Amino acid sequence: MEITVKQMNRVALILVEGRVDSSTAPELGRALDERLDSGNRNIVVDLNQVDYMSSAGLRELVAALKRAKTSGGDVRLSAPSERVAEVLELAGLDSIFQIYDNQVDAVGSF
Amino acid sequence: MPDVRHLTVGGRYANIPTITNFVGEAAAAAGLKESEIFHCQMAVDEACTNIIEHAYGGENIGTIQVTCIVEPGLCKIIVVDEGKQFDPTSVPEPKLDAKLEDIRPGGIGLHLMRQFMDEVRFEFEEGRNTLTMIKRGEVVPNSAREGDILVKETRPGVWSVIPHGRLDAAASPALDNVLAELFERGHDRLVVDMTAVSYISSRGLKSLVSAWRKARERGGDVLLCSLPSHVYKVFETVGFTRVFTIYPDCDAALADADSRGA
Repeated sequence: MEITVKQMNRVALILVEGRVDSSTAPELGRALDERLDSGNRNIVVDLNQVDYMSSAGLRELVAALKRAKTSGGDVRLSAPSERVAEVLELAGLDSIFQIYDNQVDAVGSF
Repeated sequence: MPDVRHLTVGGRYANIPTITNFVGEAAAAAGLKESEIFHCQMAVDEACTNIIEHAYGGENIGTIQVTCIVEPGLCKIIVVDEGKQFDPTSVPEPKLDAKLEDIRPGGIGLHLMRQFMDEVRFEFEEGRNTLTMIKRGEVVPNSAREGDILVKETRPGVWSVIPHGRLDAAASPALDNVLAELFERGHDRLVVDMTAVSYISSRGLKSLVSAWRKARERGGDVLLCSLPSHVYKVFETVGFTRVFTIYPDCDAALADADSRGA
């Protein structure tokens, strides 16, 4: 798994690439926490290059969403692959997260 | 002979990709399609994560043994650990469409396993947790190629045989082999789904008749279903519509074959 963070004006964009499972999810959790710690409340997690996400990854996303919401921000997702979208749906998280087809729409939604 | 594969690895997160790759290869060997293979991998990932996290309570405490039993159209995955007893009833179902505050991420893994697999069963015996998961493939005739013959246990004891393409002198020996193997394994309630048969020659008819005869001798039957009209005409011409029980609809044929097992 690779994580790239792009700091924009009002939004932190986190680009995730590869496999998010129990061994890599903590790293995603740290990247999200770092953004939230440094005062970013609005985060977009781009999942376009994620080919695999287990519940360990979902847990990190939910934890970050809870943190962001308490400070009036949000964590929004963009461009999940068909498989990741299925996992989000089966876990009931498609109604918890705002999910956008692409990065531009997700970033622009803030 | 069933295809049985074993893998034993230490219980740590870094080994999970090894396990999911192993299961992916087994599921592919069972002829499952891409999304079904992925479901098997996700389910075993969640299972192993739970073992490390809850049964062992940490990494590098014990081993995880994975066994895959591969049959045409079916992948059975058995995961064994020697950790603390796991009681699935102690895990609350996650509330779907719950409010964010109510989401308990803990139950999601088990919930996903149940969503992804056709059967999920936990047992605890002699200090070992045994998890058995089964994934049955959906037979998609379009994905099969000319000459493929799909075989799967559609109901307990009822086997579907699905030939694709021409059943002529060249292709029929393969069908004979498939049918002979089923008889050898003691299966004699067969349904031949003819949906994807484009042509049948006298050699193909001979294969089906000898299978039918063999099945009847053993108290079983070979039922046919979903014959394309030009194939049905061939059966009519040679009088085989009076020999075989032919169903327009495969579900009806399966129900009939199923009832004969009672």
